[in-house]
Amino acid sequence: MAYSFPEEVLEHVFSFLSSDRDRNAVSLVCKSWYDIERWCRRRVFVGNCYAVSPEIVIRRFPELRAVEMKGKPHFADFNLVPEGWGACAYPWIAAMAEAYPFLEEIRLKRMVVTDESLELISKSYKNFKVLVLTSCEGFTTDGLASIAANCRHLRELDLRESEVEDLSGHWLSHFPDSCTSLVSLNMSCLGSEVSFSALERLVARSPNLRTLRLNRAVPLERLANLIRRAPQLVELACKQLKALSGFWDVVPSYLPAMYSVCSGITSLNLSYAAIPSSDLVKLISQCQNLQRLWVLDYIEDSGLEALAASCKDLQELRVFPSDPFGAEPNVSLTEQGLVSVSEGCPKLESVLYFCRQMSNAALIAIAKNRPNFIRFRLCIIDPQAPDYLTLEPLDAGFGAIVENCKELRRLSMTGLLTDRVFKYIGSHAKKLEMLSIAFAGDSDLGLHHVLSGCDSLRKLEIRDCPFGDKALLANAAKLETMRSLWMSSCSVSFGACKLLAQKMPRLNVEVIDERGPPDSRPEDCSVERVYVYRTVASRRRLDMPDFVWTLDEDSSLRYS
Amino acid sequence: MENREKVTSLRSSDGHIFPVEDTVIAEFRSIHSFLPAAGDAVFPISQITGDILAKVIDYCRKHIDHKLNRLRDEEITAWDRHFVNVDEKTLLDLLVASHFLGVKDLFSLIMVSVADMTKKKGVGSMDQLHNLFISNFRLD
Repeated sequence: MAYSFPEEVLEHVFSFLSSDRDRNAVSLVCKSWYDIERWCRRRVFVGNCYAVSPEIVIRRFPELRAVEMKGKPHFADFNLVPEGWGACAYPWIAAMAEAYPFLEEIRLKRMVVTDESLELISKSYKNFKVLVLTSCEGFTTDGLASIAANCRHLRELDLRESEVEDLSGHWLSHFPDSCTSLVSLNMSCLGSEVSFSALERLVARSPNLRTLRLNRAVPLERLANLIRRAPQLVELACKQLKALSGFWDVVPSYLPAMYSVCSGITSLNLSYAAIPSSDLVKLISQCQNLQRLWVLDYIEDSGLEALAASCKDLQELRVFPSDPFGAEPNVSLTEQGLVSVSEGCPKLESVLYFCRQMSNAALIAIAKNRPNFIRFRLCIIDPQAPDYLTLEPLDAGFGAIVENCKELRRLSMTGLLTDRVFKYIGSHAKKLEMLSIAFAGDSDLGLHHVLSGCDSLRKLEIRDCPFGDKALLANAAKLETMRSLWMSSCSVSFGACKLLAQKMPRLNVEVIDERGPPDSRPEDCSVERVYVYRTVASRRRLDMPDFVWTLDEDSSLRYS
Repeated sequence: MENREKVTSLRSSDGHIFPVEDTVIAEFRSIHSFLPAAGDAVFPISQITGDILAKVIDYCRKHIDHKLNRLRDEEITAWDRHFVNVDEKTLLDLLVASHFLGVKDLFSLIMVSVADMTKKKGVGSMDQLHNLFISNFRLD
């Protein structure tokens, strides 16, 4: 007798698959699985907003609840992408507003978001819960006011590192009294003072509030008050804690409250706070459950030693420079601090460290201490600094990192580096997904080692390296297995870009050059920047500014 | 002993007869209202083989015991874990059987296990899984 496997059973099974990889694998098995899966996929991550079009996503996944998307390449953070390049969120927001009335979550990174987009979001989705805008720009506090006023079930509003035009602090008062659903609020990037009483009332009526990140103008006593009203906070950050050195003396009655909160804190962001090392140590030694610490180099080697002694659960450390452009070091932070932390914190897996000196010996010690690193980003203030003890390149040190840390997924290097370090990376960094290189290498061989050896590579960004056409063209096929490649101030010629685009029709090769049309210069002239990414959308995006050229199939120049 | 429970007989597709207490029949939410009130009638379940039907009945009995507090929480959890520790084909047969009979808890339990089976597999092994899913359901 006829019997067919009930589709709804399969759909139920698939609903337990949360990883995109698993869902993608499932959808490749056969047509009916593809169909069942696409109807029940609820979350989508688009790593490059130009790799696919809104129409394609909407057609394939008609029932999404959460969308996460990234726009500009990472080097935009270092002002290497000219203003107006693109990554506008509006076309996506408008398309999704029509297609997904039940959308609950939008997360955007490095995209241009207008007040219009924010208003559309606030009015289109009845059940909107989460808005995260990381390193975005293009909106004002008016847009935030729409979100506050209209999103009745808002749980998370996170504006981390975004550039917001601050028209007034009153937007916070637009949260209606009936809004009690907030779990996380991050407004640390805003400049102007918000109405503190509105903030206090909001905190008081948000029993689920776990994360609070405030902007700079927070008087100390009011901060303590806030903490007392929200004992369930696990994440707290302030841009400029004023006079923390006086804190422990001046407000002793608040100390018990501070201590009880500290033991619950797992993430601390003090990267804008000018707090001397001794006070930092007092604070940090109370936070024994700390998993993530972002701090300025005021912490110094001694502070990092104390951190290593008290925070055994530490997983992520970021140390930012307080005075990166000063000729002389203003604090006593050296490679030793990182070595201490790598010795003392067994769970440390993610590091971003700015310092002024490094040695191969230190890097080798760090690599041996912490083979469990997943992300390792080292920024030496002088980008071509050699090993300060031996004056040799830092090839051996970084070589040790990739050899010992077999799970390394992200690496960012600075210092004097030759082609040899790339040979090590190509041979050992098999799980590496993202690599950032600056002022390194001697020849195309360096780039060739990376492109041919790093099996898991997804994003490669390069600036000011002597890499040219040969390695790029020889490894053209590799580029289709990656999300993107960025090269600026290298030696890639316009001719090579044309050839690459001809060879690889599914890659978009964008030549970004502010000196005028590339064909007004000889073909062997190097381009300022080239950004290559795979795409299933049309190769010529409609919002290209006039300093971007992309090549069509007939390899004629196309302008916007 | 003195437990005078009514018993209904079920016959699997391969001819095995299973006398089943009414408390267990009550767990078969999709079909229990169709079953005749006791007596000598034997109700055929032609979609499910004897070995699978036996397992489903076993599951229901164990969980009824748990509901009547004859089994502790840790015991039933351990028993469940052991219950799903079978080969893929059996697991899929159980999934279909629990769906057909409407035993919700068993259905959920197996679904999670089957989902775990599909996790982290490359497309090649998905194909084998797919064959398992589909090969059970041939048109006769």
